[in-house]
Amino acid sequence: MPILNGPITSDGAIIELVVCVSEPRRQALQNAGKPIPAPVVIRALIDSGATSTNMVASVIQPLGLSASGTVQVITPSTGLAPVTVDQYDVSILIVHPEMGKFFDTVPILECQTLSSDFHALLGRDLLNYCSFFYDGPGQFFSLAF
Amino acid sequence: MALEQELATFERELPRLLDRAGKFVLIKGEDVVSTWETYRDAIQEGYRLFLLEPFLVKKIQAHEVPHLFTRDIKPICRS
Repeated sequence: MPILNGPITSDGAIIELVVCVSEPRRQALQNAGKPIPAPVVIRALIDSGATSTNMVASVIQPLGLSASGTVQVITPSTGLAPVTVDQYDVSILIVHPEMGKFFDTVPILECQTLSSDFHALLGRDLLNYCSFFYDGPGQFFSLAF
Repeated sequence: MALEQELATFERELPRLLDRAGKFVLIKGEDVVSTWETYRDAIQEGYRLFLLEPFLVKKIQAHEVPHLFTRDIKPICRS
């Protein structure tokens, strides 16, 4: 089982993701004779307080995504009344030096801004496929998948 | 706004879809196309049938459970 180890930064546990169009969308683009958008490499905060994975809109804009769903969302700024946001299907690779973890079709949400140091939150939808260890005294984390 | 018609179809057809709660429905325009066990299967069928045209995949739930974020992510809202 591959294990990613990293330091706990001032933001928390940060990992690197490669994001591209979902595998079904890639096949549709190929069948239509259209170019496949280049993958986007982004830094993501591991966030167990997030139901699902989301990404800053401007960072994934080059993928030319079209919404394929909607979900309701509650955040500190929405209050208790949920808001409806678009969902997009992408593929995500958790980067690892030897063997990354690839999810070929993942629904993600867009958000406006996060941080200058990361542009995505890795939520529990994908964390559920991993084992996450947070060593506070040692100030490092391990993500096994 | 994208998927307006599909979302209206979903709301209209939801009572009839509830016997398949937990599954994922594929909707195009005013038509409920099919239901699938997994999100991936529904998405794959959507692209197979409709290529790059818009389609909706949504989980069938009597009451939609919101996604919660403890971080203030400022989502991009449809409305």
